[in-house]
Amino acid sequence: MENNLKASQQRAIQYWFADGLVELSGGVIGLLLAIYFCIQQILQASKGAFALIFLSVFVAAFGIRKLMLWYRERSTYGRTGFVEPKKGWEDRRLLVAEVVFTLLLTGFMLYTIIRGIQTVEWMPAIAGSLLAFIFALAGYRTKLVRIYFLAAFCLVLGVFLALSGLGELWGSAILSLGTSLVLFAFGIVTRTAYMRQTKVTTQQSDER
Amino acid sequence: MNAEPQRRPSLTGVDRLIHEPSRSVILAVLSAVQSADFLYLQRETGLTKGNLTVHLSKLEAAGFITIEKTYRGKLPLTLCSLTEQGKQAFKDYRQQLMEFAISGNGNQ
Repeated sequence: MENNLKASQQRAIQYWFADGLVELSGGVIGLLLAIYFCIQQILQASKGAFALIFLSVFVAAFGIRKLMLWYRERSTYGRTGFVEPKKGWEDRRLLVAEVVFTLLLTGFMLYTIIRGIQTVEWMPAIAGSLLAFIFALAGYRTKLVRIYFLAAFCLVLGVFLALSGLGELWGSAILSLGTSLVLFAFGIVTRTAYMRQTKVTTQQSDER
Repeated sequence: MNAEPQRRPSLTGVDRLIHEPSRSVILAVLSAVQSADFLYLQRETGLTKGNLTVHLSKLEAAGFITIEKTYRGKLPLTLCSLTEQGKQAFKDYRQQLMEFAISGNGNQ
C-alpha cells in the first residue's frame, strides 16, 4: 500500500514532464540561443545590436513558454488532466541547494574579476555547469533518469568545449545546440509515447 | 507451554476516512502537488465519475481537501487541493502505516 501511494505521488510529480512538451520547448529555446551565439561570432555588429538580439531571444523564449502552456491546455489537460506542481521553494533542501550554488557561482565570478583572471574561455564550462545544476535539480525533484542524463551531458560537453579552445562563442553555440538536440530527442520520444498511450477525454462541464 | 500470543500492532487506530484505497491515493496525489483536477484523479484512481465525486465529497466534508471550480482558458476544471488539516491527517496516517509495517516485520 505504501509503495502504491509513493508511486502515485511520483507520477504526480513527474506529470509536468509526461507529455514531452517541456523538452520540446526547451529544445527550441536552446536552438535560438545557438543561433544567437553563431550570429554574434559571425557578424561584426555593435554591442547594442547584440543586446537587442539577445533581448529578442529572451522575449522569444518567454513566448515559446506561453505557447507551450497554451498548447498544453488544449492537448494534455483534455487527455490526462491538469496538475499544478508545487513551487520549487517549498522544498527546503532544494532552496538551500539553489542558494548555495548561486553564492558559489557569484563568488567564483567575483573572484576571477577581482584577480583579473580571464574566464571568457571558460564560459562554455560555466554555462554547462549552470545548465547541469538546473537539470540536476529537476532530476532530483522528478526522479527522472533522462533529466539526470541531460545534466551530466551538459556538464561534460561544457567542460570539453572549454578545454577544446574553440572560444566562448562557438563553445556556447555548440553547447546550446547539443543540449537542444538532446532535448528534442527526449521530447519527441516522450511525446510519441504519450500520444500513443492516451486519448482525448471529453471534459465534463460539471462533474459534481 | 502456552506462549503468550505476540501482540501485533493493529491498524484499528488509523483514520478510516483515509484508510480506503481510493481516498488514500487521492490524498497521496494531492500531497505531492499544489492541486490536481478531477480528470487526473479519475485516471489515477481508476474510479468512475460518480464514485470519485462521492469520495471527494467525503474528503471535502472532513475538511481534508478543498474543491474549486475554475477555468483554464476555455477548459472547465474542477481543482482539488489539500488543506493544512488534510496534510496533517495524511502525514499521521502514513506515520501509523510505517510504524505498523516496521513493527510487523520485526515480529516475524
